[in-house]
Amino acid sequence: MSPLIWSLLITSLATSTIITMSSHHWLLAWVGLELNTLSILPVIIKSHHPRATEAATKYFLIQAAAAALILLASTLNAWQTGHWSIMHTSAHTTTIITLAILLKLGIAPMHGWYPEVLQGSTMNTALIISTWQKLAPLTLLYLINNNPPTNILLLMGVISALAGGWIGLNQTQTRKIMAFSSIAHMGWLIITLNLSLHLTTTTMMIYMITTTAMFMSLNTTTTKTMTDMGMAWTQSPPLTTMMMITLMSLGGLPPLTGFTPKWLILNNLCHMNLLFPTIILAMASLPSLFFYIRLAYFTTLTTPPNTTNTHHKWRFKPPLIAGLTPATSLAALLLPLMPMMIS
Amino acid sequence: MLKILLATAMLIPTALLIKPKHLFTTTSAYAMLITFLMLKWFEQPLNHKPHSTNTLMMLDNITTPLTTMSAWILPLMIIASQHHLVTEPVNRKRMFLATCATLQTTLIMTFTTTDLTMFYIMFEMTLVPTLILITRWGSQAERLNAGMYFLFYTLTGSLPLLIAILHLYVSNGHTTMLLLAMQNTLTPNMTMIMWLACMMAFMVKMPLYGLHLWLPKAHVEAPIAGSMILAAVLLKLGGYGIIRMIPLAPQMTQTMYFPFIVLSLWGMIMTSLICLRQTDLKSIIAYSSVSHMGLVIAATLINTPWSTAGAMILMIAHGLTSSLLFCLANTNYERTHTRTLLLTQGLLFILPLMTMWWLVASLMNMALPPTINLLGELMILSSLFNWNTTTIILTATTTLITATYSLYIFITTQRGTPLPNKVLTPTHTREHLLMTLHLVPLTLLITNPALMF
Amino acid sequence: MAAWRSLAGVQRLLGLPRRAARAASSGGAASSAALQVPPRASPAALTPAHAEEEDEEVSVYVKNPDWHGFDTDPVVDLWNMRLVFFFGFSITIVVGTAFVHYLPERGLVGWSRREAERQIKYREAHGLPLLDPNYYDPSKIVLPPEDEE
Repeated sequence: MSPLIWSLLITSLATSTIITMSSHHWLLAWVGLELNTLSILPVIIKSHHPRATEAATKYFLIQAAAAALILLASTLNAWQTGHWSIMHTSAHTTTIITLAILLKLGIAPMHGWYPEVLQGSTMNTALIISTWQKLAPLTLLYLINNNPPTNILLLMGVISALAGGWIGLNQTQTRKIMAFSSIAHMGWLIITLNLSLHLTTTTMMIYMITTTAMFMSLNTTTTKTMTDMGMAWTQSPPLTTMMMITLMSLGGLPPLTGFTPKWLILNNLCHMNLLFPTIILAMASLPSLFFYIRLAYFTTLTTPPNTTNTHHKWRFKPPLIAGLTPATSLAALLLPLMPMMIS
Repeated sequence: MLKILLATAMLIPTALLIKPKHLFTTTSAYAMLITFLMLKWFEQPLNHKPHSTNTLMMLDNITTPLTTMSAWILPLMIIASQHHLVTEPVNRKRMFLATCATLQTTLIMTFTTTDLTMFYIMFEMTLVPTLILITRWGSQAERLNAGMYFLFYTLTGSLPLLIAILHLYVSNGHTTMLLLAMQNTLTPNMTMIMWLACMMAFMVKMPLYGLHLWLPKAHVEAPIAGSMILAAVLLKLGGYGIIRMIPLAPQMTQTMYFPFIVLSLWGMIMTSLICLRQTDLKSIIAYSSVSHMGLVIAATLINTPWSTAGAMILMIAHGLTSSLLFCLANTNYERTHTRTLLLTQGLLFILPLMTMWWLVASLMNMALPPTINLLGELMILSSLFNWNTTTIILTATTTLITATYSLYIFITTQRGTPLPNKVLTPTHTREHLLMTLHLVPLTLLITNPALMF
Repeated sequence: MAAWRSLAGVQRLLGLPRRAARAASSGGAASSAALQVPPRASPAALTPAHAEEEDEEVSVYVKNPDWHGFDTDPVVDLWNMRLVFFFGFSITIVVGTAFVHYLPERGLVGWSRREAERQIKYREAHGLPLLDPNYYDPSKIVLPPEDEE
C-alpha cells in the first residue's frame, strides 16, 4: 500500500472517531461511524489473504448492520421527539441504540464476529480494532447516558465477562485469546456505565493501556499461537518477563494496573448493593486469569524444548517498538496512582 | 518500619545489579542484617497494642514475631538455594533472588499494614512471586498444575474476602482494622455470608482440611526456597488473617465456628494418617503442615488469650521446623535426585552428621519437651480442652500419630541399608549452617516465649 | 612501601587472591586449597551454561577439597561462608539475642507486678482490704446535680 493512501486511511480513521465523539446530531454520529468502518476496511484487507478478506467482510457486515440500526433508531427518535440531538433519546430508541452499539463493541451475546475478525487481521490491525475502534461507539454510550437501559447493560456486561472468560479457555491462537480477553473486559466496561462515567473512562484507559502493551509485546515477538509463545524468549528475555507481568495485569491480579478497574467497579457495585452481580463478576475474572496464566506459563515460566537453530533468532536485533517500554511499565505500575485517576 | 521496608525493597536492585561474584554473599548477609535490625521491633516497653503505629502500618505482638520470622527465612532461602542454582546463568540467579526479595517485601507489608484493603492487595501480591517460584523454579512438569492449584484455590477463596472488604468500606467509610475492631458497627448486621467471606480466604490459605489439596502439590513441586517460604510464612498468613478478622465479628464467630473447628480437628487426624502412608518425603512434610495448621485454626477460632498465644507460638515453631525439614529433604534430594522414601534409605551410614539434624528435626516436629513446638501444642491443647473436653480425644490422637510419622520419616530415611551404586557427596558447611540457623532460634525461643505473643 | 607490604600481609591473611604466585603464601588461611586453582575472574566463567550433570559435583571437590558448598570459585566460597557465618551467627543470633535479652520488659508486666506487691504491702500495713470494690472513694466523687438538663 502506498504511503499516501496509508496516511489517508489512518487520518480518516482518526478523524471519523473524532467526528463521532464531537457530534451532537445523530446523523453526523452515524456518518462518523460509517467512515470509521470504511477506513479500517482497507487496513484489514491489506494483507492479501483469504482470512483477511473474510475478516474484512465480517467486520463490514457487522458494523454496517449496527450503524444501520443506529440510523433507524435515531430516525425513529427524530420522528417521535422531533429533534436529532444525541443527548435526548426516548426509552425505546435508547434500547435499540444501546443494543446496536453493544453489537459494534462485540459484547457477549453478539460477540461471535469479534474473534474471527481479530484472527483474520494482522497484529497491529487487531490492536487498532480492539482499542481505537471501541472509542467511537463508547462515546455514543456516554452521550445517551442520561437514560441508559440499566438492566440490559448490567445483564450483558455480566454475560460478557462470563463468556469472554469461559470461551477463551480453549483457544490456542493469541489473537483469539486477546479477543476473548477484550470481550471480558468490555463486559466490565459497560457495567461501569451504570455506575459512574468517570469510572468508565478509567476502565477504558486502563483496558487500552494493558491491551496495547500486550499486543505490542506479541507483535515484537511475532507470536501468533501459544506454541510461538514458547519461542518468545529467544527474541528478548526481559520482554518475556514484562509479558508475564502484563498478562497478570490483564487478569487483574493485585497490585498491577489491571486490578484498579476491578477494584473500583466491585466497590461501586457494592455501593449500589448489587451483591449478586458483584460476586458473579469477581468470579468471572477467574477463567480469564486462567488463560492469561497459561500464556504466562508458555512465555516465561517454562522453557520448552527447542532445536539448536532457535538460538540464532536473537542474533537479529528485534524490532523494538518505541512505545513498548512505556506501555508495559504503565500496564504494570499504575495501581498506586489510583487516587489521581478517579478524581 | 520504613527503614526495614525500604532496606528489604532495596534487596531487589541489589540482586539485579551487584557483581556476579558477590551475588549470593551480599544478598544473604544483607538479608540477615535486615533481620537483625528488625529485632528492634520487639522493644515494647508499654502495654499498648499495637505498640507502634503510623498511618499505614502498625506493629503489635502478632505482627512482630511473624514478620521477623519471614525476614529470617529469606537469607535461609538464599543459602538453601545456592546449590541448585549453581549451574544457572547469572541473570537467572539474579531474577531468582529478585523474586525472593519481592516476596519478602510484600510479606512485610502484608503483616504490618493496618488497612484491610491494603492487606488484601498485599495478600494477593504474595501470590505472584510464589507462583513464579513454584512454576519457574520447580523441576517436574507437574509444577505447572501445582501452580494453577495454588493460584486458583487462593484466589477463589479470597475474592469473597475482597467483596467483604469492599462491603465494609461502603458501610463504614474506611477499612482500618483497628477502628473496625473498636467500633464494631459490623456485628449487629453481620450475616453468616459476610463471616464466611471474611474467613474463607484464610481457611484456604491455612489450609483447612478439605481445602488443602493445593498445599501438598505446591510443596512437592516447588523448589526448596518455595517450599520453605510456603511452609514458614505463607501458611501463617492464614492464621494471621484469622486472628485479625475475629475481632471484627466476635459474636458471629461463636455461632459459626463449630463446623470449622470440627473439620480442622478431624483433618488433623486424617492428614496425620495420610502422612503415614506417603512415599514422597516432601509430601509427608506438607501433610504434616496441614495437620499442624489444623491446631492453629481451631485455636484461633475459639479465640481465648491462651489459644491465640498458643497459635502464635505454634505458628512460629512450625514455620521454622517445617522449613528445616524441607531443607533436610532437599539435601537428600540434591544428592540422590529422588524424593521417594524407599530409594533414600540408610543415610545414617553415608551422611552421619545429617542424621543428627534429622533426629533433632523429627523430635522438634513431634514436639519434644524443651521446644516451643511443645509449648504451643500444650497451650492449644489445654485451651481446646477448656473449650470442650471431648476435643482431647482428637488432639491426643493426633499427637500420637504425629510422633509416629515423625519417627517414620526418621527411620525410613536414616536406617536400613543404603542402596548400592549411589555415589553421594559429603555434606557441606552450607547445609550444616542452614540447619543450625533454623535450630538455634527454635531452641533459644523457649528461654523467652513471651516474645511470640 | 612498608605499608604496601603490610597491606599484602593482611591480604594474605584474609585469603584474598593475589596476582603474584600464591605458593609464597604459606601462612594463608586457604592456601593449600587454593594452591591448585588460579584465581578466576568470576564464578560465571567456571559454570558453563550446560554443565555435565553427573561430573559437576565431583569436579568441585577435585578442584577444591575444602568446598563449603557455596560457590565453585574457592575464594568466593570461602568468603561467602565467612560472611554468612558472621552475619548469621555473630550479628543476628549472638548480638541479636543479647539485644533482645536486654530490651526493656515487654508490656509493663514486671512493673505491674512490682506495683501490685507494693500496694499489697501498703494495704496490709494499714489494715485495708486487699481489694476494694470502690477504686475511688465514693464520698470524694462530685456528681452533677440530678435535675440538670
